[in-house]
Amino acid sequence: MKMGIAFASLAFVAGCSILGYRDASELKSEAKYRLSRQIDRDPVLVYRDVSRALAACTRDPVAGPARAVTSKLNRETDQGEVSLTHQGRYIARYEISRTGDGKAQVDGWWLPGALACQPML
Amino acid sequence: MASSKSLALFKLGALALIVMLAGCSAEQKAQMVAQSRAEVAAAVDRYDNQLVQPGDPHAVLSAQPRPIDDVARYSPYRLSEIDGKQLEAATYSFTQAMPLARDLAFSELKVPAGVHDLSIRGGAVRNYVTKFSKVEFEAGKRYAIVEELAPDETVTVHISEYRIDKRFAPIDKEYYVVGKRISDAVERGGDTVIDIQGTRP
Repeated sequence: MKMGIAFASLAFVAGCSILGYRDASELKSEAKYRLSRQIDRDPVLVYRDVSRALAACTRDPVAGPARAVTSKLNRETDQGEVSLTHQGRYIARYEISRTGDGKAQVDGWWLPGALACQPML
Repeated sequence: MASSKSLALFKLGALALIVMLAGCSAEQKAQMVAQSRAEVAAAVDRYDNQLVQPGDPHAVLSAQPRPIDDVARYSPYRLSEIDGKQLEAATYSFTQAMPLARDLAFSELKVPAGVHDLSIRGGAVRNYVTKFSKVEFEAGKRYAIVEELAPDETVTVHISEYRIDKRFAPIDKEYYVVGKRISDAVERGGDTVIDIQGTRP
């Protein structure tokens, strides 16, 4: 009985974590996993690598068809945003910008369901 | 004692045979893959050069990739007709490897310089045909077929100049730094011009 309740709780938690959030700002405030760091690289190249890593998750034969990546790069400021959604709900989000000394500032938020999609930064 | 030695020799011989066979098949497989790639590259080259003769002034046209182009069931945008002339996608053959629609769509099709009427095919699970009239191509320039949402959320298609960002691969949408628009934005799958002035940059 206890095992059953434990399994049901685990499944519920896993289901919630995959479900995602309707809004990117909601994901940013609620996400279990976060990242904020500076990298000594061209921010556009960091944006490219993040986009590719998240896009690779849409090729997964099981979850892939439900997932989509949206990315936007501002050419004037070198600011980029990359989001991974599962059935239209945000499960991972990265924001990349250029710092004053030319480095890349990377901020990321993701849910356990998107853990395997994270880029190697 | 002697039988255990012969058994060991037999096992060694069998292992050597398996390794030889595996090596042989891997080499054959590599040759087949290389041959298929060469056939696909030749077919893409024929497609790209079918509208011009060597030395003719021309522009190049390709499609800007969209995220859903990665999924096999979505067809990318591709020029299918120019001034009423159907483009030949590929010669079908049972013995040769064929290029995929995306191989053709993201290649650089040479378009003769001048004013042309165009039909663009693709854009979703089904093949929409989107028609453009009197689009002027300048020699030596690069043009991309670009999908965009109009302010009323209608999916529109237009043709724009672009320059290359070499930090990205041609399969990335950011490889195309989209510039001046040379056609109106037409509703996908139709010949209805959605914007005349509204969304032009």
